[in-house]
Amino acid sequence: MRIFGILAFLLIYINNSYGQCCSAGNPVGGTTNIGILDSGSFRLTTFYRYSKSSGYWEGISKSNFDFVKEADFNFGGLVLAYGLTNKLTVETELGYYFNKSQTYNVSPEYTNKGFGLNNGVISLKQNLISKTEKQPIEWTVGLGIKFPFTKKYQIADNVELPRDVQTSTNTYGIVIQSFLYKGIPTRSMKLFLTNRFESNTPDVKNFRYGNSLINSLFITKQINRTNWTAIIQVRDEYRSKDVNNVIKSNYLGFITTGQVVNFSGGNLIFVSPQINYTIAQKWNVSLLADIPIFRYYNGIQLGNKYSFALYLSRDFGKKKCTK
Amino acid sequence: MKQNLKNNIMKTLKLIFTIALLVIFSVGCNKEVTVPAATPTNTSNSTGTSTITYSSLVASKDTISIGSTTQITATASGNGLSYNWSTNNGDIIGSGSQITYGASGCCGGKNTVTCTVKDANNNQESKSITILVQ
Repeated sequence: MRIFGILAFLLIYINNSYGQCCSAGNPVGGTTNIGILDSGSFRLTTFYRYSKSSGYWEGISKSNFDFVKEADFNFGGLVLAYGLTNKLTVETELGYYFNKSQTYNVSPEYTNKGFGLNNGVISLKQNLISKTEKQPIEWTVGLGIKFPFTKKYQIADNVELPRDVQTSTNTYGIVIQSFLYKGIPTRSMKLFLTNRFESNTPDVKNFRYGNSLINSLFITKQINRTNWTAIIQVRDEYRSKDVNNVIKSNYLGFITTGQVVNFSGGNLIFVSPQINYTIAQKWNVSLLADIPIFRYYNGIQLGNKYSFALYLSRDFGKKKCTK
Repeated sequence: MKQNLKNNIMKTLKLIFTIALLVIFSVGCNKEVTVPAATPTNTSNSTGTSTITYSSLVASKDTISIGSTTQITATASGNGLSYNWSTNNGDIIGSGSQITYGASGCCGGKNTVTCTVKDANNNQESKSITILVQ
């Protein structure tokens, strides 16, 4: 379990890499702090993310569709975690969009801009397997509730903003996570496999975002025993189609019947190089960027152009963490 | 090791059960919901003396293709009017008495655009129009 101490919070991803349209699978995301903490210890992670989208995709090809010229957002996030026991950690995720904007291809040019709080997430993470001898392996699972701070759509200048620039899903959801660690001491390597599933309930307009499943494989390596750590991540993001005009909800709203939005969801694969620097063995600064290597969009959707994130993290604990 | 794993799984199941209960209380029971009305409506919600005369809500095109737009104009008179726009699906571009409505691929079908006009006395009247996006 202590293996996670320093490394766990370095394993971050940007899980909002879809175009701005339909990207609210989990806007808060941004981190998979799945590693658990020692009893009584505390972890603080802050991060900043920027994402820009432009150009439409149809299936695996670029499209000439040009409804939205470009879209972008600036996002700040805060993740707080506390070790209830040595095997159980509670964690909260909060976030704020400084802007979430999209500019249309109309004359004169016009931009819709939203800003404000994102959904919050409260999760519990339970360590199930922990073995740290010659063949270290650990497995932690988590279950969380995603909740809105308001169910109302945001309004600007007396106009209700479109869904794509809403800063929240405006509804409840559920988050299920898994985190598997395998050390390979003979090769001085560490492998991490993380999985995160999210499902949302319909909002006040009877719109329900599709489910998302994000699987990430991380390989980490300390650079020549310095404070620098290089991390490479391969990530697959799958999203099912959204449902509009929901006419029937079952199982708390997680199973719905309605009009399937064929221009939503898809599958994206990214490679995300990441570099981390440890300051005084307390603070960690990390920078990552996303490089798409495969995209498949259902129908025609706005595609992500580029995104990057900067993270700052620190553990405060009763016990000193060790790698 | 095996016993520990079993105990841990039991603890996790208890947690899942507890959280599921919280979700139930937060979200509520299964519910039937209805599709929003897809036909034009005209509603009034005035309190006190209204100065609003709401003549019409008209679209330049009531059928558009995905990715294209139509202009929608609200014609009303009264004291200190404000125009409040919303839609069940799609994008409202602009503000004031005339806006542009457009829809990307996510928003095909019959969509409703509503304009609520409010006067200085906080009286209000609403009209809706249906735009078919195909």
